[in-house]
Amino acid sequence: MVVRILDIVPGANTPEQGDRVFAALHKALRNPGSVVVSFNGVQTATSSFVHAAFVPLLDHFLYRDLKARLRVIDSTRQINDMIKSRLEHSASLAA
Amino acid sequence: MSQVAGDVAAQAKHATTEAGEKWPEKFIFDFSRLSFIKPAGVVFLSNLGHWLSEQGSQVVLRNCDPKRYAIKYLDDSLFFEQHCGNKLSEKSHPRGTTRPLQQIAQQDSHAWLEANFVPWLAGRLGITQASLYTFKACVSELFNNIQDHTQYEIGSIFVQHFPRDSIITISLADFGPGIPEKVREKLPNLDDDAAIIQAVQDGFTTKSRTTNKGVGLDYLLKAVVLRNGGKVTIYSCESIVQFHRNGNVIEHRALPDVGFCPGTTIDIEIRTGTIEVLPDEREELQW
Repeated sequence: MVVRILDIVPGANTPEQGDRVFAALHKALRNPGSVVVSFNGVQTATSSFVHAAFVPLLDHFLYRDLKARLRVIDSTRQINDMIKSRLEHSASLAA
Repeated sequence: MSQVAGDVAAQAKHATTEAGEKWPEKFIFDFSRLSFIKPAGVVFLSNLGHWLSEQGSQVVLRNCDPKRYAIKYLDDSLFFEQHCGNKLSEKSHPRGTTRPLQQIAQQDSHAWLEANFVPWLAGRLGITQASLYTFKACVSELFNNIQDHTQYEIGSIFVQHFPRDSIITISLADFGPGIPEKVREKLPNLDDDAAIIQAVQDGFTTKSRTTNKGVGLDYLLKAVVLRNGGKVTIYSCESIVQFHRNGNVIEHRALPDVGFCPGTTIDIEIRTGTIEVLPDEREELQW
């Protein structure tokens, strides 16, 4: 399944946008298999977007399972670093 | 400029709190002795003017001769257009090295950064837009902070490229309650300097929304100071704190005798020579 960020929200800038992406990701991950997240057309992601869209997934899935099932494509270095660093940080706090 | 503007605001503040006087109805900004002003000063002064207007005062600008360099610079920066409705001189226009002074609402800021700031700066520096995404994200974080921590949701921004110094400065201000006031809602015993230093710690937030983790200022310091080797200066209430790199450590110093800054002004200094050049091609996240 492919989740395209720009099909859901106009950007990855605010926690409100993150809330809507979280709902889509959570729904997609409830089905078995991989979920592809496309950031095509998105330049950057703020920490508040990532904290709303990705970090709450740790309440439902193990970090190692998320890494195995989530593929983030058509992205940028900044977006990837933000997602990875905030998920790692939050997962380490929960451990 | 920050000292002069700070003194103006401090006098008005003390007049009301100590002598029981009414808030002054009029403030006169006399530019007759202004010979030089930096981007942070432009934003600071503009923000002070908006703040005084917000308090109900009339702000009058005097001795604005556009033949003088500092006044011409302010006019080219669109300072007078913003505060008086018109430029002083028809010949004044935004310089190619600047993104002129403007007020941007938080909800419009991200589109402005994407469509205006990034393409302009990439063109100035002759590098890919992707190389600037981290700095764009830093400013987006600051606009989100304005929305989170003030009731106004508007910031003033001014950007300038200094090619001879190989520096970009981004100055951003809001006229909310200021960082120290917000920090003291959680930690009431901190003075202004200590409150600003507390506010930049990773994970410290005064916002109750669970997804706000207080990462924005920490992200800014790591991107600009630690990795780029630039500087960040935060002006708020009765404090100015400057952050710089020493080896692999971010150090700070609080400046003495700083007057008063309504709201918060953040001055970001990016070294163009140490910006990591990245390809514009999209990439996949490698866990």
